Amino acid sequence: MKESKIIRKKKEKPKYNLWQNSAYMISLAWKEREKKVLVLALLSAIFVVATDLVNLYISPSILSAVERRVSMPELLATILLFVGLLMLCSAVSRYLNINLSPGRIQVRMALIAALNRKMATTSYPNVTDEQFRKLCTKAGEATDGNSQSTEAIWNTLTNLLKNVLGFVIYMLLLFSVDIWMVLVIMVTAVIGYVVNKHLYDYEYRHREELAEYEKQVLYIRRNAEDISAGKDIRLFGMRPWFEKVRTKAMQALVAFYKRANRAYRWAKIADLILTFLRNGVAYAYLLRFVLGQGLSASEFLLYFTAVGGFAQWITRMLNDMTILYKQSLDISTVRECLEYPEVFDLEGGEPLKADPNGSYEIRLEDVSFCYPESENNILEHINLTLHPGEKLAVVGLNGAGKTTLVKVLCGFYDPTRGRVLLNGRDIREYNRRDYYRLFSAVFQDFSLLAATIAVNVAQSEDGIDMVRVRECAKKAGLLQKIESLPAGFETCLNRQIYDEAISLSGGETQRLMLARALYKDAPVLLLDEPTAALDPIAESELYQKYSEMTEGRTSIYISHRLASTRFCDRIIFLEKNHITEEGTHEELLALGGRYAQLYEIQSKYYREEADSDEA
Amino acid sequence: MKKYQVMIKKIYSISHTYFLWCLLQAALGILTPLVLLFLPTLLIDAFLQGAGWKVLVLYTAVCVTVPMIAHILKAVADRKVQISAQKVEHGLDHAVDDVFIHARYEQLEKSEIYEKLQKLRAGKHMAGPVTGMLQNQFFGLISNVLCLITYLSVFAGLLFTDGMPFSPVYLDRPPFLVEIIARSTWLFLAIQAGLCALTLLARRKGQKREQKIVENFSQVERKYGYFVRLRADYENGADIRLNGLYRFLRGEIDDYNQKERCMHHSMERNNTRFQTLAVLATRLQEFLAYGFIVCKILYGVVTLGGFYLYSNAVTRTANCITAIFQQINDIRYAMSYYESYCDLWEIKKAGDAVEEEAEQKEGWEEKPDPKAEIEFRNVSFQYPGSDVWIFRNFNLRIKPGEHIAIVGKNGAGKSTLIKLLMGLYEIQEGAIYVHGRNIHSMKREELYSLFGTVFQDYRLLDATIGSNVSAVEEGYDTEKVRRILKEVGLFSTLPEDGEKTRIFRHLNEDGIVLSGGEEQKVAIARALYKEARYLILDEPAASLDPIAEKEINEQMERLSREHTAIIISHRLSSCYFCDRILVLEQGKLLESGTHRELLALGGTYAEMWIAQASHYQSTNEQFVVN
Repeated sequence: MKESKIIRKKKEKPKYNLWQNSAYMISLAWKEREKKVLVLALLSAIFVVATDLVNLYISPSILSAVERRVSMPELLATILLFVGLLMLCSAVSRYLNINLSPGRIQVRMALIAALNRKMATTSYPNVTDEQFRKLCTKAGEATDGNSQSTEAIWNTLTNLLKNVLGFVIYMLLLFSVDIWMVLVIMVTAVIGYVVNKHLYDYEYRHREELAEYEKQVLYIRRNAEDISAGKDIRLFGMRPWFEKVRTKAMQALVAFYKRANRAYRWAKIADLILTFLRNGVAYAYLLRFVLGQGLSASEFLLYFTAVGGFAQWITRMLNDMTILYKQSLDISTVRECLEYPEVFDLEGGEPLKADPNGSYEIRLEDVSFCYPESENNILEHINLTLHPGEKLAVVGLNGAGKTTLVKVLCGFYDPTRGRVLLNGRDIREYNRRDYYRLFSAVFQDFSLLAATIAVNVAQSEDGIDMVRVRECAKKAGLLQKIESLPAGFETCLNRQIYDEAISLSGGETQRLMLARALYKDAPVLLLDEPTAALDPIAESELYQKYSEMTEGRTSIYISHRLASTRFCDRIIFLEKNHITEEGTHEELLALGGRYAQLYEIQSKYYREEADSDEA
Repeated sequence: MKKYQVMIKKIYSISHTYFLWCLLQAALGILTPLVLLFLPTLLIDAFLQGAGWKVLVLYTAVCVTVPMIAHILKAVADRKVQISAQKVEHGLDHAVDDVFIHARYEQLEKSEIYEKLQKLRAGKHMAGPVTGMLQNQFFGLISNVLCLITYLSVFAGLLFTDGMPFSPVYLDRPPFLVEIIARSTWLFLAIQAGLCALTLLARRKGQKREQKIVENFSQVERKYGYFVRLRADYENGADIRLNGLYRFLRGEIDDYNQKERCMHHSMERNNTRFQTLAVLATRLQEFLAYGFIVCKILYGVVTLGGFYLYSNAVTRTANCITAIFQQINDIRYAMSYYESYCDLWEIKKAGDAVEEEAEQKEGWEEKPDPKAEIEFRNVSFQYPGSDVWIFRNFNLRIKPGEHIAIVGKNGAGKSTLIKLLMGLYEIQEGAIYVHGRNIHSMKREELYSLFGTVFQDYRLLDATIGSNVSAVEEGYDTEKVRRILKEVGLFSTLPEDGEKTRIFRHLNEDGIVLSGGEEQKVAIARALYKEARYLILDEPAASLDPIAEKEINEQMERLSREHTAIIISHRLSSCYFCDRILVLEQGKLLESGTHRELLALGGTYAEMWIAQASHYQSTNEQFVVN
């Protein structure tokens, strides 16, 4: 199984080739109104070549003036002219160079923005899709620095342009010496390029292997640096384990590099032979030419420098091509990530207005669901109607599929079979983002933004209705805590970013999440274990306020606390991927099934006490 | 300077041969340019003097073969450098990981250690990897200095030509001015040196301003890094979508872009001002050099071949000097990031020192007494960097074998209390005794070995369940693991591989994904496997279903008196069996007693119990307490 995977990976080809990717970047710069990137690249290439040409001619020209015994003023004028030209060219080059990067960064930023957008808004199933996440990681790496491919490609393209220009000019110059010499230099150079390209391809294929080792090292590192993991590592003495994994991965890595370098050696040797051939032939021709034609010292100097330079232009040009090839692979990854197919209709679809007072009926019709790449159904033939204004409770054992049910219901996953209907229409017909607006939620995984408490409640930086924020914080039982803080609602969260930030306890965070869900005021409220971290008093308060909080809304409450389901209109009991029991608390108790049994278990201690009190 | 030493020593300890290969690489790198400076000079002179073709062929052959041989040798050196560079890079990473694994826990809680880490990571992007810096900048600097010395000695050779008499090679009578110039090499060299100094000054000033601009930007950078990470945070995926957080992220990132643009503008302005000056100075140097050498030639003391030599040497000297300054600045710039390595190692040293000192502290020679009580004696504590007292003169005794429950409202200090007990934080005042010894005088490993713990934010690893439970990768007691997995009620739900089943999919695609409750059971199994004297559970039932909760409760009930157990829970039914319940509020021990005693007391505990129990009474009794 593993072997077949590796073979498949080897066959994988980048989706776009080098020219397509270069064209893509150029058109991106054009579209992003960063045309100056292109203009500057062109100018900088021209001026670098110009500087080189002045440098090429400066010594021979002055030498020739001396040879010709020109007058003193003329000699000085020659020197002045060349040095002046040199000053001009290099000053312009320098000036251009300084101004290259901002535009380039801007283009890269545009790609980052596009990636951000893709990652933050892509269909939810993609978020857990291994392949997409791999692409995201790679695309992230390809855009996260000035030396990464998406920015460095400009340098490569500029260099390539410069080297091609230099190559053409030198070639024309050397044609006057001998056309065969030029041809020999070129042929050896092309062979060199082919060999190099092949070897770079080889290295790329083995990248996956490298990534595998690095992933392990990174995983260990992330845990070693993590503060939560830090406690467990220390208490359970897991240090030797970590060190062992690390050492193993390290050894594998070093062995890999040795192997890779061995392969690389052949490229070097081939390159060497070719260079030797190239230079030997070139200088031989030049010598023959000199001896045969009786060249002046200045001309000899010119050609001598030009021959060395010509080989350099070619080597550099080929080098650029290999670099460009490598960078193109990265850019291809970025594009594949951006173009990763969307499962949901995020852009099109029928628009939907989330009216807080609107009445929405959501119906699951014979819904089955299984996670991609898994064989087991998490949900099987679920039929459920969520009536407008209803308070539904979902209970069941760990792993019964409660959270999945809710995720299917609010459109994070499409059912594998069956349909989810909103007021009788399949939700796939609606714009998915509009559909999300119908829900506000407290999930078990949540994100605290590195921003002020007010922003965290409102989930927006501007247009915050402070009166509502206060009100929601109060309802969630967080107001007292916030008011005890010196900066109140303006207190920042996340200490890694803001030095003056505070950190909230588990219970406080949960209350903040609740306040946030209330602020959004969507027609449907989803609460997944909202009291897990709350103390008994706070928990009890929440239960009592529940009716008030959900007034006029539809709500779904997932909990293991069976007491909490008593204030819901209807309870569904999930077991082994099915809805096995359904009804009010009293009805289910009367039924005497699994729910009643669980309730009995959980309430036992509390009631025993009450009974003994009565006795 | 000390930091450079520390870095070099560390790298040397990782790979002894790395520097040697780098040096060889650098030496071979400068061989070719030097040959190509001197040989054409000889070639031209030979040519002008009408030497035979044999001489010409010989010189040309040398021109071609020397670089060739240098190239072959360099290829070998390159390969060696590459391999040892990888070793060095990973060794350095390893040394950083080491700091985090070995640091004392309270060091991890300070933002300092993470700031250093962040700086180091930023350095990798801003200044490239350490070995890249060493090879390109450090050894590049060495080769450039060597080249510069060569070029300067070439010029020094010109000083000897000052005294030479006029020789009419090109002109019959050189103008008087030419003669003066041709005879004043020292003046020429002095002017050149002055211009060099000017260039240096301009660059230094520009660089300093640039550093300031970059520094001001780092806070913005830090925030941006966070938002970029958030985008790919799949655990928050649902949250981000439902709340349309993308708008918010975009806002932050746009804001960053705006600020970055501003920074670039000020950098550009700064560069234009100082760099232009430097460029002009360098060009002036070249101009003067050409004029000077022409005068020498006209005066007949330098040959035409010499013209090639000196004019090339001039250009190269200028380039060399520019490169040297650039490299020095680059090294400094890189070190401003990489000094974080040293800082991190210092942090580790400081942690190790505290650990060492533990043995010299009062009470270390006390014999451990497993029958002794746990005691908090006048403990005061505040979090590092905060001035709020979490505990003030706190006292508590826990008998061996006692089963304790700690309850209290959110933020009462329950979790902090157990962390203090386990020595994860340093207390400011008072003392904590475990096993009859002040934990202050115990080695952390010894102290940690006493506790089996389930933290609220426990962490399992991507490995087999057996490894997770036993906390070793392999070589655990399979029977024991199975027994404990059965005890916590997890074994029967596992796939056929049993304890060999891998969990999570970060590293392996065949791992299974456990539900929150199942993960919690693994964490509890891990604490039990350790068979530690003290068992501490922080909210073990928070995400468990009623059946699992019951199982945990029963587990606690069955727990032998060999163990002292402390359980923190909001589920008061879990506290029911405990010998004693402690009610904490704002760092104070409010109530202490059995369930019954506390109910009779009618205090906070009773209030909590009634609040929770009321929801389990029959309907007509509900909410009577309110």
